[in-house]
Amino acid sequence: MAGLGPSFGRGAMTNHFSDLKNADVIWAMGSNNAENHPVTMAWVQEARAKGGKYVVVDPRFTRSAALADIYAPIRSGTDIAFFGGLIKYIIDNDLWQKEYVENYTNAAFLINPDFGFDAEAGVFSGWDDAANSYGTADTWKYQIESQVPWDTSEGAPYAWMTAPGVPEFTPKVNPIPKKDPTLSDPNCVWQLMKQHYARYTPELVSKVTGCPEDKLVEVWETFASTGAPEKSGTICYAMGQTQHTYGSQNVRAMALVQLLLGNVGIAGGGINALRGEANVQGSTDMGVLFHIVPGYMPVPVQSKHADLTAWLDAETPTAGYWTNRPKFMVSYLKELYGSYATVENDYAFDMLPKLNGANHSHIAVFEAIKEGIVKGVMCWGQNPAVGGPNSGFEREMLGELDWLVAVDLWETETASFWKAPGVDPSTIQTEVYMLPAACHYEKQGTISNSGRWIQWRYKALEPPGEALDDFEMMHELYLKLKDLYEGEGGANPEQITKLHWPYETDGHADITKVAQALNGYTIADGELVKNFTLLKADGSTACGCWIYSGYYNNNDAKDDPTQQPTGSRSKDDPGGLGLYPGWSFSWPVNRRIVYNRASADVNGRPWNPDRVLVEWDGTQWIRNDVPDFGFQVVGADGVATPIPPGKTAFIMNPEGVGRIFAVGTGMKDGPMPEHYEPFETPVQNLLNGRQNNPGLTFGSAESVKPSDPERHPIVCTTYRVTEHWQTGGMTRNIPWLAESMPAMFVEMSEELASEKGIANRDWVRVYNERGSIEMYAIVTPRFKPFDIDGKTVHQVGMPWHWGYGSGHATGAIANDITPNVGDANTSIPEYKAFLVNVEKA
Amino acid sequence: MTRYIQRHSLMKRVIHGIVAVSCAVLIVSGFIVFVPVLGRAAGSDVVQVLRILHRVFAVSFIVAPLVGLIFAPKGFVHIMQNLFAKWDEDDKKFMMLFPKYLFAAKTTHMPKQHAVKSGQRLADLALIAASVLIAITGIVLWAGQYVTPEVFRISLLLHDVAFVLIAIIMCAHLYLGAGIFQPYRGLHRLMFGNGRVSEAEARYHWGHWAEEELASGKNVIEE
Amino acid sequence: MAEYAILYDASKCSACKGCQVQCKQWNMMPSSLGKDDNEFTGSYQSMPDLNGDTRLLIEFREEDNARGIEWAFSRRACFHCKEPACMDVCPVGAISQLPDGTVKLDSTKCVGCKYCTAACPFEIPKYRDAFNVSNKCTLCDDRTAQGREPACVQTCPAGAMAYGPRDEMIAAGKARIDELKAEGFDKAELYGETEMGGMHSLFVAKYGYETHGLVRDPKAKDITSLMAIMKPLTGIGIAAVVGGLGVSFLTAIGYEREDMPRGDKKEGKQ
Repeated sequence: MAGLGPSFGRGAMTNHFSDLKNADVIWAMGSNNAENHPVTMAWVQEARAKGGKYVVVDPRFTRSAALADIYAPIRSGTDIAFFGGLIKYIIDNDLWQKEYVENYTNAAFLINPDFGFDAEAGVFSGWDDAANSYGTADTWKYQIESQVPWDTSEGAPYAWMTAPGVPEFTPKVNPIPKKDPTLSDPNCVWQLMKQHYARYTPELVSKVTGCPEDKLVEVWETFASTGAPEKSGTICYAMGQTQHTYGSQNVRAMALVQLLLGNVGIAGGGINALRGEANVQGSTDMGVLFHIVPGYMPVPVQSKHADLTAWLDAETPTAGYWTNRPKFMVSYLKELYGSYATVENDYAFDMLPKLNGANHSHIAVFEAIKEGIVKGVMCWGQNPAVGGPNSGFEREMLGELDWLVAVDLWETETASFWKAPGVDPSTIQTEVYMLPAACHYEKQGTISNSGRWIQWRYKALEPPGEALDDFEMMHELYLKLKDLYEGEGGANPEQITKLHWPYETDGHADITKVAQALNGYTIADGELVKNFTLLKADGSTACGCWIYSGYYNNNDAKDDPTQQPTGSRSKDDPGGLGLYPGWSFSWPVNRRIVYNRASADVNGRPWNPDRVLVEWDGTQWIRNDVPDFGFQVVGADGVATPIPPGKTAFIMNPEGVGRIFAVGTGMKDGPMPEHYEPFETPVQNLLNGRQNNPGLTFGSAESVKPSDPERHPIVCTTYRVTEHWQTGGMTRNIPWLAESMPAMFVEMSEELASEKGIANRDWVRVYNERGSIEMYAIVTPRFKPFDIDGKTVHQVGMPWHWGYGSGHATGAIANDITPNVGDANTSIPEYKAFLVNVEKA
Repeated sequence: MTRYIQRHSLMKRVIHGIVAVSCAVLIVSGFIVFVPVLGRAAGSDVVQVLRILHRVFAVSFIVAPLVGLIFAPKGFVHIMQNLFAKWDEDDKKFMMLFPKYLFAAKTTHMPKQHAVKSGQRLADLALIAASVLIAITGIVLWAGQYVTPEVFRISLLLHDVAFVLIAIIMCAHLYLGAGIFQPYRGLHRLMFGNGRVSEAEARYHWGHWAEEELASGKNVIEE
Repeated sequence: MAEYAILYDASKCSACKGCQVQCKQWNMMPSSLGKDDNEFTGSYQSMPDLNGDTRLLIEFREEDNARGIEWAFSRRACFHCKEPACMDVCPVGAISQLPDGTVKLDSTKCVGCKYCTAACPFEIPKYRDAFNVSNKCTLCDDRTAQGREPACVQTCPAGAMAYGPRDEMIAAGKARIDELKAEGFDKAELYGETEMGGMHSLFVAKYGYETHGLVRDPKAKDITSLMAIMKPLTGIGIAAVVGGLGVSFLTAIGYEREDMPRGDKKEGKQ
């Protein structure tokens, strides 16, 4: 997500599963979609039936690879080298889509002449060794041609900010970057990119990745063929790209490729983040990350957001759709604090928790336990005892807590960490509470899939025993807290007592009321708003999550999800592109393919007349999808006037184009992706003089215990299999699924096995400095050693579904040996590439 | 006063009885499973009962002789010695004459015989061999779920082969042993009566043996 | 009534085992409730073979040859032969053929003799201990009778299975073979069109029969023909013996032992 946002403006899958069928080439890289998103294969097969190609690049020969037209092996963690080589290949062979690149990307924009990349040092300009950061990255900025201040006069676009009730903030001045449409200025993004990737020759990329040169070129050639305007190519990725110390840059690299080939915003194109869990899109939409509030707005930071004005000044961009952010923030605050939030009290902005500037990601929480800062943890549907990086350390830290609340369907390893094998319960002082939760069939609500579809699910049966719906638990917890604060007071009690909490009916939590709150409504009459374009910054509207606005907007049946867009189940597909506009609701405003302006040329003519999303017919827009751009103006008289084609294809970015070069995005490790080695690697970085991503997080934490490449020379990666889900809490407790993949294993090549005297089904030990775990061996030709610059590098792989819990299938915890180091931007742990050694147990 | 020789002990008679009854039940119940037309006509419930009977009587069929072996090992050895006794001239002559005897008993004079007639020795051997085979394969089939289909298939085939052998030999055994064959009238009393044979009867059937027994007098009873 | 068939396309199967689990769910077949009871097979395959509680198994075979890795997935379940050896040997008529070609095993009639397993060229029916019956795919005749697809077909996310009139399935299968050959899978072949008289579960074998573990030219196991011979042979044997003995009996009627010289007497006479 942290790679897509800086490139296109939204951190979400651009297209949808059903859109895969429109692709000429489907490229799975860092995604094992046949195994982990089996339903995608129906669409992949449909694309193949029409002559499409399915390309799989993966360190392992997976079940996806078995079905691929082309499979290429790659050493885990070398994706940027692979993509960098492709970028060079596209440029060298003139395969990019020129009209697209020139108009819909920042290729023509001029960058500060002081910008540069020092290949010897392996860092971009602005690196400060002492601060260990790029700081404000002043050189990664556009050259500015002119400054255009916001027009706040009556009737002007920004007139709303002067309305009564709108919190005070400074009108913005929009800097207009300098451009060179000929792409020849040495400081233009195009030239900088060309120069940057000149080092990524096929020979060198092959040496880095271990992928034979002919395979590399076969993949590049196949995918670059989609640079033809009428062709479309999509890249599916998942945790294979993100779970690296440069995961966000991996995603950025794909963004560059797709922008060059003109594959973003079109049917059959895009970068499709196949999310790892059924509702993980929904959870990020809802702000279940430490740095954002619902709708992808930044959590206030004490040092820069003293009050609402400061927040609005700092976080309102100068142009693009995000200039409406004040409306979304005020509406959000109005939903949180209701009538308590007024313009006079900054709409209760003070009540929002503030960050102190520190990292509070998953890894950080356990470091904070170690430092004695965090004393209690609620694990709500999470099982860090199995799923966390360096999970042995995390279990140890759970034992340092005063209390732990585990909310789950079964007693997970986290809930039972105190009685794990080898642990003496009498030495654990942590008070552990287990709250049984209802499963998805036992509660109603929405679930948001990778394709941004917010689908209502109904309750099929009552939860067993004492198990409760999560929301019901949350509701009771809130009421109890409120009682306690009202009765006993405490620090800042208003934060709890003043919360607007009308989400109940007849004394029970009512999720349909939350749905209405998320959709937004006008406060005066309580009427649901049609969509977020009607939200206001003056306190007259409330909305819990602006991007969801429109998914639950039928005022005639507020209590009935079946009558709402989210509950809609029409299978109609006008245009035959698999958009299914009447099936549930896709954020934003039911757009199925975002950035769809880019599916047509500057004159509004579709690149491919058979795959029309929007088309300007000379007088108006033909719309098979909801346009992701200003396509009409509705006058005061209600008459809509069409807007002729413009060039703003990426409305969320102030500059209105896709970013090849990331300017002003907060990327902490470079404006363009550069290859670095994983935190633990057996080889030297051949592409530049720096071994690891300079921005990686937690690399110096004592708990990490880095592997020694001499003693642990084997690259290891972790993954999931179709048969199990995540830490296995849900699947190892179901006998059918436990049987379908009954035991923990490590896969290795025949070459490594013979070196180590290991036979198939042998019981083996996999170990490094962090731990040693035992499991079965699968010796298979599907794993092959890599030749990295003349050196043989072995790779093994393990699924991470097993643990000591469950009545049916137990096994070693793979994460006991994964490193708790994180990506520079997201701190996502590097589960996918680390070092181990293997021996017969 | 007539002299009798005690030919079969009580244990022998009881074991023979159990085996005979078991065998009869096994043949009938097995036959119905063996011939699908019969099984299908009888219906699953009947067949299932028959299969259970088949197993119950399989146990007595196998266990009864084993009990004899354990509790009367000498008797077992004795039976075996008789079965494998060396053939003399009379034995060979008996065997040569036997076919004729079957169809022209009134004009055939049979030579004297030892404890077990040479022909019966052959029949008994075949019967015992077939029984052992059918017992072993039967056990394998019973444990069918634990063996490979290949082993199961072979066992099933051998079980059927043994069944055919036993069925045929059993016809002959019944004909002769139960005395349906007129010259052997009354022989059924040997196994299903008190196990005694009169002097005259003994001399007729087992001339050499009768002489030996009468001479030793050990098993001779006078009434 | 038209004959129906399943068409399984190994070239589209992603071996997710959805069908395997769905089969258990629909047909209420259990897995072990014990802890770590399931054997590890040394591959992604769940268990070594079908068993009494498993009617459908996705098998994994891998070969590393000149063409690269061939990871062959196979759907192992009853093929519903037109000439089912299992039906011929069933002693109680528990196996029957429905008009649509489904070979149905009626577990209420089955006596658990395992003859069907022994006769099947693929050894597919498996003994189900807890119920003392043989168990195999029924082609979800309970569903198809209601106009629904078999459970496995319905659940397949990859579209690797179809169910429909057999001639249509054969045509689709053949067309798929042509496509695969055009893609370079020169060993691709359709299984089940003629095997065992024609099957009602067809198999697009991407890498050829052998790589997918399919029996080329399957025949009912010899046991069925041997047993077929055995039965008349038994009859004839017994009839001959009984007949012969009958003659013997007739010739011996009226036999009086006293008429005959006793061994000793005779000797004495001489």
